[in-house]
Amino acid sequence: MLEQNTSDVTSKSARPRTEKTVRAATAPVAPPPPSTAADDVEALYIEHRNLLLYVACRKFRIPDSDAENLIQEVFLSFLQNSNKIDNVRAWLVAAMCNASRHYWRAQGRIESLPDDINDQSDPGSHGLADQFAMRMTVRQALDYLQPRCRETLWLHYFEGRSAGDVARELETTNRYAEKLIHNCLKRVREIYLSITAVAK
Amino acid sequence: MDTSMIERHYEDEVLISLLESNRAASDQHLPACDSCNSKVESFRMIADALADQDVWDDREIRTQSGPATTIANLRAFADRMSDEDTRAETFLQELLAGSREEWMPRLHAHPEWWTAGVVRKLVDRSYTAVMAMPPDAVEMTSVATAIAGELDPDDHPSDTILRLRGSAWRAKAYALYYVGLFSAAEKAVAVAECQFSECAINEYELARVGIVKALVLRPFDRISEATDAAMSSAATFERYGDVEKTVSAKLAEVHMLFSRSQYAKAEQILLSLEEQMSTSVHAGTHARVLANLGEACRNLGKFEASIQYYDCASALLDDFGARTETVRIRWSVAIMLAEVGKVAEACERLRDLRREMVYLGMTSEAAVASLEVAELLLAQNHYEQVVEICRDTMQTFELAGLSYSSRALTAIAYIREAASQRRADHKLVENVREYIRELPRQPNLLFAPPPA
Repeated sequence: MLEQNTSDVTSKSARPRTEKTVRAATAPVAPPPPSTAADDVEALYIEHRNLLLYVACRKFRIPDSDAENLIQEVFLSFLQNSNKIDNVRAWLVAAMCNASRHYWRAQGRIESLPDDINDQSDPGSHGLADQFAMRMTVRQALDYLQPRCRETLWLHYFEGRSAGDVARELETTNRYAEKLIHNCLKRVREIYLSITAVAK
Repeated sequence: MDTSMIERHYEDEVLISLLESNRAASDQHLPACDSCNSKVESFRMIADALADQDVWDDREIRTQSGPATTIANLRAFADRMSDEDTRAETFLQELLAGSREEWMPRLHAHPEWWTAGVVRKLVDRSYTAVMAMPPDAVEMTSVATAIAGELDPDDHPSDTILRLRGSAWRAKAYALYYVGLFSAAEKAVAVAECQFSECAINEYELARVGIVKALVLRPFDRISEATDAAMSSAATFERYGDVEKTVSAKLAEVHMLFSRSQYAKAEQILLSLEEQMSTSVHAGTHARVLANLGEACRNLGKFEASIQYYDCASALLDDFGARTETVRIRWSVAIMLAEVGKVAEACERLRDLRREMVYLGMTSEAAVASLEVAELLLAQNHYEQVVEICRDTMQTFELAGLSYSSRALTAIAYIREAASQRRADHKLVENVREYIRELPRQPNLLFAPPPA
């Protein structure tokens, strides 16, 4: 395994709890110089790092401190692949799942595995990369919602509570709670679409 | 259905209500309206995601080292690989000059050629060579495995060397399979599996070994194991989004159906693969799908369709210079011509093919093709020509010096004698042909003439 420095350069500022606007970056783009293999792998790493971190840390519960090493292993394996890869994102995510399972198998020899390791992603399911990317984006979209909207969605969709329960919790009428649920779902979808449009 | 229901789109409120009350499936408008249907699906997708605990987990991921370090490491690795590969290209020009018998001795005289780059380049080249000149591919992979075995894993990051050894042995297994050395190919598959099993990220590489394994086990009639290997590989490739390899694995599965004479089932799979590949850029894989469709149709008695598929496959493969593949396809067409009664044309084609097979080092295939001609000639009582064919075939085996050459010579000599006494018949030739076909798999198999 390649050496890893121990300094942390990725800490992210605290998540905002107030609604903010999603804007596309509009910097002018200069024609790119001819790229080398090193440039290509750097670009791919930058493009996919967050998704791979999400897969490792959130889906497989890999400790944050080890996730970066696994990503590096995935890219080293990618670099050594002589095949032309059709779908880079799918390949990287599948390799990250492979690396994560291997990590837990290796750890299993010295400590107990997380209870839910078998629940973390179905390796046989197709479009796994798309599914992970979508959930990561929904997670990001939630950051842009008003706290009341987040709470409504949490109560209804995560806790599975009825509109009546939500109304009691938020001390409002059933009719208004129902409207709130609809509006918040619409809003999170709008933000989700804005984020994916910017990414494209 | 009321057309106004189709033309007027639903408001978001209505779509969410349908979703919330589980009435979307029974609604009449949605199935007819792509726009509303796709919108309700996106609401459903987001609602499902909101039920997942992970999307509510807003803890930061605090990695111990950051992107800058990883980027630096990856760049250094990519640069090193690129540098090794560039130097390897120069070495290879010298290493692969002249006949293949000179390569290994030359390698031993040049310690500077023992690099990871040379292994990678040899492995790459072997996959092209296997189509054009299989014995060259076998030698290239022998050189590659020799070098990879000597490289020190500690001089390279991560599991680079294990991976390299696995790749070299996998390529060797494939090349050995191609020249009909099935037992050696099976051993090479086992070594490749063993090397990759030691790597942390190995599913994709093992799935590639799985395809070769499926091909190699088929001649031993280990159809069930081979089918499992092919299906497992296909599932892995699908997960990795690799269309070409998924199709290759499914083709290996189709070969198992052929082995069980389940041609109709094979045709169904192939037709769906053909549809998938018709817009694909992977022309080589597309050609293989077409050739297999030709084979399925031939066995189903759909001769015209079969020839059409074979012709398309052959045209695609010609563009790659994949000679061994086009030879196999042309062989199938020749057999089919014989089956539909065009004996003279079939004989002419088989004779041409035999010459090409000998040149390509496909010795046992050449012998089988010769015996197919012999069988056709016997039906017309052309005994002298059969004697001549047997003589040529024996000479080919003598020159090839294969481990099973002497046994093959005995069997062919038996036909020659019978033909010269005008007592050789279709049954005898068929018996010997099947024996020769079996020899690469079982080099120690004894020849038993059919009962008189």
